[in-house]
Amino acid sequence: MNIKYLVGNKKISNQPSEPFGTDELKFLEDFSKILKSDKSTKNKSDILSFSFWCRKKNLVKLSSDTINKNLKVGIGLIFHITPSNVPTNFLFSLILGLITGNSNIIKVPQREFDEINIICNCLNKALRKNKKIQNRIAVVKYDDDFFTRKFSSICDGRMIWGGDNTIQNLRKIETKPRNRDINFADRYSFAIINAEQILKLNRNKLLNLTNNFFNDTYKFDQNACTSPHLIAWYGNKNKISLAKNKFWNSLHKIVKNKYKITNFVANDKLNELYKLSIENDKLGKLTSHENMIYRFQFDKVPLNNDKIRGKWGIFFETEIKSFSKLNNFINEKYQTLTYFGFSKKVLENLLLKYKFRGIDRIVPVGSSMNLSLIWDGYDLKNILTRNIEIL
Amino acid sequence: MGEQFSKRIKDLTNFHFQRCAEYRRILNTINYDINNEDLVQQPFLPVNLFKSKKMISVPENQIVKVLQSSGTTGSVRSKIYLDQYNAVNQKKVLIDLAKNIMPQNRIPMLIIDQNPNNTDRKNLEARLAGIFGFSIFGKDYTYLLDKKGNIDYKNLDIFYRNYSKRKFFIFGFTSIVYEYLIKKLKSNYDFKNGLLIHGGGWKKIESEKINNKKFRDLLNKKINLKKVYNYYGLIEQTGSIFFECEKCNSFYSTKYSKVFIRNEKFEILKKGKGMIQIISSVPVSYPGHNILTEDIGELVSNNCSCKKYGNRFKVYGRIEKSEMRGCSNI
Repeated sequence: MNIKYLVGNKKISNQPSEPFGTDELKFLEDFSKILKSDKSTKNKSDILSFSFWCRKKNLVKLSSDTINKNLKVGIGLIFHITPSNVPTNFLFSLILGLITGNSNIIKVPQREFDEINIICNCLNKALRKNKKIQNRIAVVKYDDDFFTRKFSSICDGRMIWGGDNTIQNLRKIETKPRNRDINFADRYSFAIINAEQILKLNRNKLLNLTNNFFNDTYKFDQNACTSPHLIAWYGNKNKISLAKNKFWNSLHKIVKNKYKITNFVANDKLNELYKLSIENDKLGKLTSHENMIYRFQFDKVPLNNDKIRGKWGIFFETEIKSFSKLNNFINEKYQTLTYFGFSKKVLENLLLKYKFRGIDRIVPVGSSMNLSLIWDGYDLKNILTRNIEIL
Repeated sequence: MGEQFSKRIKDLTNFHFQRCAEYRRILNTINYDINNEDLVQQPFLPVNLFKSKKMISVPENQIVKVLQSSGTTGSVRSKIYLDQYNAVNQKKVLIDLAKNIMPQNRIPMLIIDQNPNNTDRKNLEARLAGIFGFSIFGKDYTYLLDKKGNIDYKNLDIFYRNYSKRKFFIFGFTSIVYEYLIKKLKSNYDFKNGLLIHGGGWKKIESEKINNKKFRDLLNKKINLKKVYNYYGLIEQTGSIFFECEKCNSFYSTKYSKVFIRNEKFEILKKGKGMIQIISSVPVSYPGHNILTEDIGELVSNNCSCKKYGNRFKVYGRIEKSEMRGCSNI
């Protein structure tokens, strides 16, 4: 029964502070600079994107979005349970907790990840300059549920990443009566593309679009919860057919240039493709662009389609003449809607009209991974804080 | 033989298409023309599919044996379902394959493992399947390891005294043979009349920088064991294994099998390293006649006499896995 403190120690405070406090902003600014300039982060694009995200300008912008005349403080101590397969996720969770005025215990995966060690080194460097934050962050690694129970018993809130099973398991563990759990469950994401607008694109703009789509999907092998699996094409049949050709051929070029199909990927992708075929008998016609892109043409979107997921570049397509069709399959599992070729107003009206059970984020193609203080439908700057009333 | 083999494989593809719903769905997905006789274009299944999907091409009540791949605790294992015909046929093929190496009659057999006495013989793990499979060549079975996994010198000495003057057979998994015969065994034995067959892969002992040549040298030096035959085979195609040529150390296929090497686009490679695809006429009760393995290999085109058997290849180990990237929800 071992526990290792990668950052901080047992002495963790549970004293709340104000959201976007000066000390926290100063710490994150230093941390952002260290991440950016440290030798160890060179070529680590996923770490560098955090440096960009928690730079001062962005944080000040985020704080100005949160104007609220009420007196607000953090809820106290937050225990973060981060997923075992994404090494950088814990940093996002930590920053959210800290910036909202909380102390944080972060459990990171047991497995050795370079990224985690690099980030923790940089955190330690930044903490040396910011003594006031030192008892506000502890990054821990352990192999025994004993510690999960212990931290669950002292915290005021838990950020639970890692999907449905993790959430169910943690629910069984006792917490304080006023503890708040923020659960990040398994989610499903999709895209809507306006065929007519695709046909209007010139070559460069098309490449730009498909490159953005590549970043939403292939960049994380379609494993990110925000990555679209289903592509709904909007328009009439002829235009959709032309637009599909144009779009996928352009994407094929990008994938060829930027994505490495290794032997392992090829083998596992074929395995995924065949598993999907066995599990679902109504996937429709398969179109392939070498083994770079596989696309199934749903005749009709199956009811359980949030369980039908692609990996390494496997997609499912459907055609819609009107938005009313969306209500047939959007359920509470739906998280991110990535779009192209619509105005925000049209999408807003769509939401107002149909009041879907799902969809927590609507973002243009290429921005699906952008982090914000609203995540998975939760307004975290409110959920991770306490509002104090003075009459 | 080429045309006949292709036809046999095509017939098997047809057979499984008719009999196995899972297999049929796959072929429907890729819109495969089941009349296609071109061996190169015959559909292959990735080996991991047998880990997640139960696939059977005979009525389930006819299954007499379930073979399982070996794996660490917690890892998902392949399951292979055999009916009586398939189980018997595997034995016949194995006997035929080993006829160049093994004598006609059974000889005393030393098994480099523990005695799996109380094992349920219907559900067999790869290691046991290997032992039971090869036991058809032996008699007077002696297990080198005791219940605690230590060398049982008492038993070994009895075996040694009684049988080592004449030809005897040794069988074991490569890594276990290395651990016990090469590393742990006291060195006062002379196995000059022994004949070792071993398989199961080199992964576990690669970290100790042991390759085939070194392995043979060590056995030769330590216990004077010269006849050493490695084989390559998958539990997913049990019986249809590939023995190594004693001259050039390549694995060779036979009239029962054929090997292709494919790159990451699944193109056939005549030269260079790629994924090993193994095709075999032996699996019938489940659709395992054409499998894309996770092993890296390369075809061999030297002039060695083993070329008369079939196409030859080298194995270089598993494909390198890439790190999982992405979000939480998988």
